[in-house]
Amino acid sequence: MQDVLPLEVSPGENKKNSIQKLVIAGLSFLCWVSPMLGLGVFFPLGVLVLYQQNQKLRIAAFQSLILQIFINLVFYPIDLYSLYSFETEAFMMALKQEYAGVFFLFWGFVGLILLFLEARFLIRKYGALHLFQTKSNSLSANPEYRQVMSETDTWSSFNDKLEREPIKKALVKKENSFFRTFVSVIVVWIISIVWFFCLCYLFAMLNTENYGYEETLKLLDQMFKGDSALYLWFMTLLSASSLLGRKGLISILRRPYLSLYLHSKLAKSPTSDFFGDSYSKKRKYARIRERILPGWGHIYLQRYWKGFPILFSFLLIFFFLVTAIVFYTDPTFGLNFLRSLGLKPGVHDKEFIPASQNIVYPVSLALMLSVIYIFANSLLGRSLHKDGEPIEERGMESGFTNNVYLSLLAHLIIIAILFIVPERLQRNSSSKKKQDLSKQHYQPEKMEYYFIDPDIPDEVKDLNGGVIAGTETPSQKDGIKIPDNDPADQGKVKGYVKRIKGKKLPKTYSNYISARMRGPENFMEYWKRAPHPYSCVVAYTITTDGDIVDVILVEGSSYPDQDNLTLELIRSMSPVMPPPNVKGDVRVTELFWNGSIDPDAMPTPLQKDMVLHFDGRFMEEEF
Amino acid sequence: MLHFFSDLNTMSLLLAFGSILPWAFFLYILHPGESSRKLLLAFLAICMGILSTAVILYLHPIIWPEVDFKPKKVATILSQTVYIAFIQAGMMEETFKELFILFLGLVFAFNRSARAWTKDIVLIGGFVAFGFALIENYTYISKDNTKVFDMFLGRTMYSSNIHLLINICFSLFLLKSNRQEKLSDKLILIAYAYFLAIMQHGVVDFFLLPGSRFGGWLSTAMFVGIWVWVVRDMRKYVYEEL
Repeated sequence: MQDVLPLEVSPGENKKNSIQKLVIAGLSFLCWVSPMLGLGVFFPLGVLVLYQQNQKLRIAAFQSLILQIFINLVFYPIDLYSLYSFETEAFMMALKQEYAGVFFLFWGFVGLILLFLEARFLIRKYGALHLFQTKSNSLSANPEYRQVMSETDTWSSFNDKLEREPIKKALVKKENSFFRTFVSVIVVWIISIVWFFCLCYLFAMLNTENYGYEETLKLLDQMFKGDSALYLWFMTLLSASSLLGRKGLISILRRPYLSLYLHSKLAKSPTSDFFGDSYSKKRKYARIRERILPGWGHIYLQRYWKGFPILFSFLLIFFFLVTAIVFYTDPTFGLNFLRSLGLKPGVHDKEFIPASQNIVYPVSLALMLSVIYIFANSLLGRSLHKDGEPIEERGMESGFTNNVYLSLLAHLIIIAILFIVPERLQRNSSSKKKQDLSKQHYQPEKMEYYFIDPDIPDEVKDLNGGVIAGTETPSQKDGIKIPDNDPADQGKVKGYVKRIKGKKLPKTYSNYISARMRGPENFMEYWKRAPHPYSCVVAYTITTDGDIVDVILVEGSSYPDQDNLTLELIRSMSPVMPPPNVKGDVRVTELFWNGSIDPDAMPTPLQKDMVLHFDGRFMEEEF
Repeated sequence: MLHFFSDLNTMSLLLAFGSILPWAFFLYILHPGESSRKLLLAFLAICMGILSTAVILYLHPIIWPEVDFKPKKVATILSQTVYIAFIQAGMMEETFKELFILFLGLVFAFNRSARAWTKDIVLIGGFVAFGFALIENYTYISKDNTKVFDMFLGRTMYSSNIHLLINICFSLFLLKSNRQEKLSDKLILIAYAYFLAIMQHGVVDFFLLPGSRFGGWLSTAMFVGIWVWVVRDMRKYVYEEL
């Protein structure tokens, strides 16, 4: 049966003109590179919706889609675990650093097993493996089959003809040798590996500034710690596996693809015979889908106006629920989780974080999610009863229950924009400045600054120097060694961070600022983009409401673009938690640099002094 | 604008051409009709697209003059993004592009006796978008000296395409207006199409501008959604045989 189903390129597709072939080839290529272009799963999904007939294109889209889902299933739990705390992040980083090679060795062998499975399937199907030959021994090589192909234009007519006049499978003598199979698989595996490394090098090189060898190798190293290399590996493996003589879909995906094909074929025709076989099948498929993901069943029944609002409402509430749970578990985890998506609370941390500790939010969101789930499943019966309606007439339906999801979705989008999208509404500040302090910043020669919290206990004073972004140093005197190779991931500096003299802000607030800064730093790839060596000094004010205002460049570098990025980085942090125990706004002077903590290496007197402050930051209260 | 042409950078210009070429090729080659007429319409439309950019560049400082104004508080980022996405980019760009599509369409793609738009309006719409995207992409590519390839790829995949899809969507609404009998209904549909173009541009930009991963997903989903819609309508109204 599988031979007559569209698991291979259909006969009509070979007759298409060159432009159509070019369009199909271009779209197939885009399906494969969609994750590299930022189109993700959406593009292959769009192709599957749009191109119902062209099996070559559908196969490319389906394989890319499944591969992307699989890669995300592998990597997302790791990412989530890294976000839990600084310790887990450091642990995962160390793990990636140490075991990236082992990780890829594992997936390399998984690829080898896949190739063996493919070879086994091809031997069973066609009798033997024919390396570098795609047509010689397949069913389509059968002269009878080829004759039917030449007589038919469409896949359905081809199928009809085959059903009327069955053709035997490929009439080839089975000649299977284990040695031959083994060698063929190993050859294809080696070709995949070579091809994979070439592609990785190419992608890394295209992402460097000057296409230089050293820089490319550095990027290649980073690539192997992320998901893009794994995607490329399976992509090359899938395409190289066709050298074994396969054309069309890889064997392990044949069954799900076949189900998808048959299910969607069934969904295309309206059914009014409620006792017929096709109706009962359609009901079963729709219910399974609806139970897996509310809205999907309605979409399957071509009720888009009902299905999509249900689906998006469910996904948005699910996202809110996950956010509420991670914030309830640990606010830092919550902030990191939102940061990983490029989001941050749209309200002040001082309001958001205490509120997020209330169990009512996760519980009520879970209840809401359950209600949507049950309600969406109950609505499916109504859609099934109306399945006789022509597909082109299935638009919006009247009635409260049919449209309540649209209204719900509209409200949820507004809530999402207000609370989690990195934009916010302006709030009025109660504090009014008496003078314009926007040009002020810390100057070492005028050391008459005010210590914000004069009651800092003595033991806290020592802690200031060795604390980086919320982590404690093993020894307060010696400080901690920050690795030279990836300073951005463990704080802002590298080399030894030692304690400093004098009383400064309570460590928790400075740590808080450092931790908050890491989000936009990582997201903007601030340190990755910074030239080396780089240093500049900026000054900014944190108001009593936690707003960051009056951001100025005190001492620029010779890289104006990076200086602008620094100013943008500071502005993007706003709003932050208000400084503790202060009556007025706080003026911060901060050094951004990517060298060691060495005053002699700094170019100006101000920077020589600033480099000795904790995280290069000094805060004073404004009057 | 004169200053713009006197400082042309050849490499950036070639890349800008490259950023619209693949889509322009397919739109041109798949469009039904005589080659000479298609070529003339494509050329005129691309000129109109370039002209629309020139008009916008000329009017921008007049409508929104740069004022040396520094607020004490951080300006509201939400309203700032809405303003840039929907007003500065969406409304301003789409108004002029749509005006030029209407102008060129009325001359070359409107059957006066039948009072109906012809299929050529889609070609005109697409190439006006390409003219606009050409200058816009050139400006962005020539500004970026560090990651030129990334910028080129981004402009090719996202920017050129979204301009194209929005304008084709507008042109398809003009074709759909042929089915309306009353003139008032036709005008309402065209007004709706204009409003939709602004909304499409605004919403995609709104989610894309802050550069968040989540917003990126939403804008990509919308982008692919518009693509699916446009291709389905193109099959129905332009490539009837497919």
